[in-house]
Amino acid sequence: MSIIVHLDKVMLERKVSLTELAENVGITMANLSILKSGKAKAVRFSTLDSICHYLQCQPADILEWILGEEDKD
Amino acid sequence: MRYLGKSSVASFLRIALSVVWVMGIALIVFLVVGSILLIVFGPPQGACISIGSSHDIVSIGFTNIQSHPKIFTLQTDFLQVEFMDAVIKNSKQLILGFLSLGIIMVGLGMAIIYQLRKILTTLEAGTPFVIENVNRIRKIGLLIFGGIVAQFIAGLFLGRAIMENVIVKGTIFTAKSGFNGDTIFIALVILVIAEIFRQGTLLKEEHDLTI
Repeated sequence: MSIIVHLDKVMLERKVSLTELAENVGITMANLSILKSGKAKAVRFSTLDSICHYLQCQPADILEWILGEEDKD
Repeated sequence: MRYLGKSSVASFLRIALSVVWVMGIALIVFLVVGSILLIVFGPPQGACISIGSSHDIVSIGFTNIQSHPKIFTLQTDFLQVEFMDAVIKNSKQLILGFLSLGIIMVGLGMAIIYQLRKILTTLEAGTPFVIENVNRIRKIGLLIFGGIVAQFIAGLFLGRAIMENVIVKGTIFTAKSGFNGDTIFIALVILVIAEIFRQGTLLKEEHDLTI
């Protein structure tokens, strides 16, 4: 996957814990962990909207695209 | 009526298949012991040999009937034909051939039941869309193909063995072997269902990993 999730970095800057974000965004801790660890296959716009709203950030602050190994061929 | 989960149709089927599984193991043991006894001691004196085919499974049996020492019984799904005063040459090899086919067919059936039991366990647990189930359904389809091939080969060799070893006055035995179209169709449908299941599993995985 060439998409890197920087959720933990943004959370650290905003001093927001995983539990607090999960409670306020309305998703489970398990799903938030999947998102944070980069294992997620897709993110709903509604989830992204809620996270950005609570953390007062842009989607680009959370997500970054880099050149992956599969793109280099 | 509940089809998935505990106390459902799936759990009832799993229990039923477990019973069949135990019976199948007993049958395989019986066939293997029977084959060994035949190799060591040969067929019983004055044996009445019967060869049958029921639900695509060919079987052979023999009983010690002194009054009809030379009776030869041929049995299909619809019909049982008894030939009096039959001359049976190499009866040991004939019986062993059919017992071997019986072991192969029961073994294939047991392998299918094993896979089905595993699938039903996941249905009972409420997690049917796993990649292991795709492989299990695929294996069932391939095992059915194995049965078709085994039957075809058995038809070639065992039919010929009857032709050459069973002599009944005024009766001509002609061996024939062919592929069972219905069973091929079922095996292909099962392989297609396995691929549909694979798509379902991928969709489920994507759904689970969509936040």
